[in-house]
Amino acid sequence: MKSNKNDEYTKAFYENRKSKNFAILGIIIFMVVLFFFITILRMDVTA
Amino acid sequence: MPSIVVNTKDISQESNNLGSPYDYINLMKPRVMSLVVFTAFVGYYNAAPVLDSSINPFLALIGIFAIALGAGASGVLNQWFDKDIDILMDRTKNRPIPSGKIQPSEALSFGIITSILSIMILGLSINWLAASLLAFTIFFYAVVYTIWLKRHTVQNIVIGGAAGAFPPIIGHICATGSIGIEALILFLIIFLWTPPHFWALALVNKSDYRAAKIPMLPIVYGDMTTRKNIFIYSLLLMLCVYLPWILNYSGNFYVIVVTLLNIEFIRRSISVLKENKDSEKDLFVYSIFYLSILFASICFDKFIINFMIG
Repeated sequence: MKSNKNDEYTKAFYENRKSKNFAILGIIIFMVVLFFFITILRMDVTA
Repeated sequence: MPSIVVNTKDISQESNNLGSPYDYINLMKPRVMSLVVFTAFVGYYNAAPVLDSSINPFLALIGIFAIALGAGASGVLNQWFDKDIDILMDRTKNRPIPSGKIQPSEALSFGIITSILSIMILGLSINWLAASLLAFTIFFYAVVYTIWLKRHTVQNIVIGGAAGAFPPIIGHICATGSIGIEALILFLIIFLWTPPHFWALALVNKSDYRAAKIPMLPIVYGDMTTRKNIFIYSLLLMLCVYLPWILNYSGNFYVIVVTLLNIEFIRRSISVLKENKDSEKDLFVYSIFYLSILFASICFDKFIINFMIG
């Protein structure tokens, strides 16, 4: 019974950590794209 | 093959404290963020209407996003520091940190990282003067207001109100690269609007603030002094909101709207002064409506003027 509970916690922990890692990955990709666009938009092509 | 030993006791605590993205969004005080975004946009639009602006509209959008992120970051740092008093108050006990959804250390890291990111994004996309003011605003709210003023002086929300008043100036700097009189007037309007708004809330949630030992005006000087101060600040606000019209920054549409808004604000302030039932709550709710419509009318007025000029 106790073992089952521990298994559930372990599963929940890994699932939470996995979704958090995906969220961080998403944020990093978003930032890369954002800074890319900032650079492109701020480039003075007439200079 | 090496085996991984997992301490299930630690996991059981941590799995409950990882927090969902929804909790992190809540941690950033989305309602405050929306007001900040709105007032910053008005500061921006009022200084340079989007169509005539030399700033790329996408960059302007990124700038507004950075300001929103900065506002959220300061909200996170505020909740991290206030975790001990938030748990004592009914209004705040369900926030992500006191309810155990997010660990304080995670909130602190999140707040610091988003602060730095917001300043960097604004600096790189718009200009570093706007970014510096955003940095100062975050510092003012998280350190000056939250750490120094909130628990130590009855003037906490009067001085601390400046933090909420900076966004229109940041918006103005985004558009023009400098601080203008129009932006300072918008600053003054929010600065004078803050005390009646928060003191009305303090009258409603007096028991909360007493439990948390926060020296709000009703706790230290009593209800009647607070009601009088609300009325005085309301009168000052009523006069101040005519400045854009007097200085010819806004037109007739604006003056008609603010006059109507003022009449109702004064009526509700008098109702608070007379200690009418639920008048404090009514004033608190109306003050949000008041500021939103006032700023929207500044924008709309500018739009009408630009439309007529062609």
